[in-house]
Amino acid sequence: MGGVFFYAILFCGAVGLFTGRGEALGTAVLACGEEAVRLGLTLCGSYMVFGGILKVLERGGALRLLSGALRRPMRWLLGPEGRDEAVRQSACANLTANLLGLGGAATPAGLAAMRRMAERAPKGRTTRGMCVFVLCNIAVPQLVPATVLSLRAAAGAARPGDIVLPALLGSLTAAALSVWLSRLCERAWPK
Amino acid sequence: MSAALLALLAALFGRHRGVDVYAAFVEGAKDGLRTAAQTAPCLCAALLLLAFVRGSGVLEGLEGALRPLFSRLGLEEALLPFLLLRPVSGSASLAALQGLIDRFGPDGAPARMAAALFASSETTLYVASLYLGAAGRKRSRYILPVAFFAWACGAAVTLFALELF
Repeated sequence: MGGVFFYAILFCGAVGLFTGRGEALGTAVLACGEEAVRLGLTLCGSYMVFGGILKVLERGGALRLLSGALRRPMRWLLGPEGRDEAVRQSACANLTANLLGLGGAATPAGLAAMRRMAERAPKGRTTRGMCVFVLCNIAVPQLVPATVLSLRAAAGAARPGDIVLPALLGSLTAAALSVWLSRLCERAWPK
Repeated sequence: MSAALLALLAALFGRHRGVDVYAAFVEGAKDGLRTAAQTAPCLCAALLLLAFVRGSGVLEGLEGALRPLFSRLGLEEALLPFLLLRPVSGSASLAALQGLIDRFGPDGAPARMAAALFASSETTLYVASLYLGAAGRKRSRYILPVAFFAWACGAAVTLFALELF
């Protein structure tokens, strides 16, 4: 992961300097910090709001109910790590929130699930459960892609929602493929 | 709309279950603040990468190189910048989507394609670095190749389905 960032930046930096774009590159690098703060504050707001809502649901036992109902599918998906109650609750909350298009609610729960899996795994190991879970958060089937719908509606699309089904089919394909391929790769790849 | 419903339902549900709703909310919001502090560095790194990819002209170069391939495959060339930005940055690809909507109208073919593709995937590199970072793991193993391959197949399915509907 770190390697991807390192070599990408090295390559781009070399190309930029070699083609005489050092000045533009410098401006872009300085601007990106500002952008990070702006975006970070927006995200921080939605994490706080949804984190609060999620905690109310958790205290009321809703996540326990949800994870109980999804026990078998989660075990199938995450393998032995899906047996841990805390992992399962956070993972269920994450996947449900993603399905409903509530990205701000999904991230805190998803990171909690990753932390919990990391606590239980041998140090430094990226386990099968983690890989599958990250892949599920990259190929996210969304029933309500809120951002895109509001963008299309604001621009006056005839039927803003007509992209939902194709998008859902695509993301379901990607998710199924990810899970299947991760099973194949799990055997071949070193931990 | 769905967010307001969720908040209302959570409050009613919590009350019904005898939860101190306010205290629980504040506690959860504190967790959210921690999450934000944890995600900010990854966000900054992703934006730095974006700044390099764009500022150095590598993105333009890549666009130029891929354009002939794209037209041979019969795909919309206008979609190319959006597709290249999608795995790196959510905000930049959203801006590209808005650009396509402004240029072709919301029901123009490239804008519709980009909208469907935006809804069908997440920001691959950012999500992977964020989640692995939270777990304190350095090795991403097979995540990136699998994610990109699955994304390409999913995108093909999305575009095909878009033609049908």
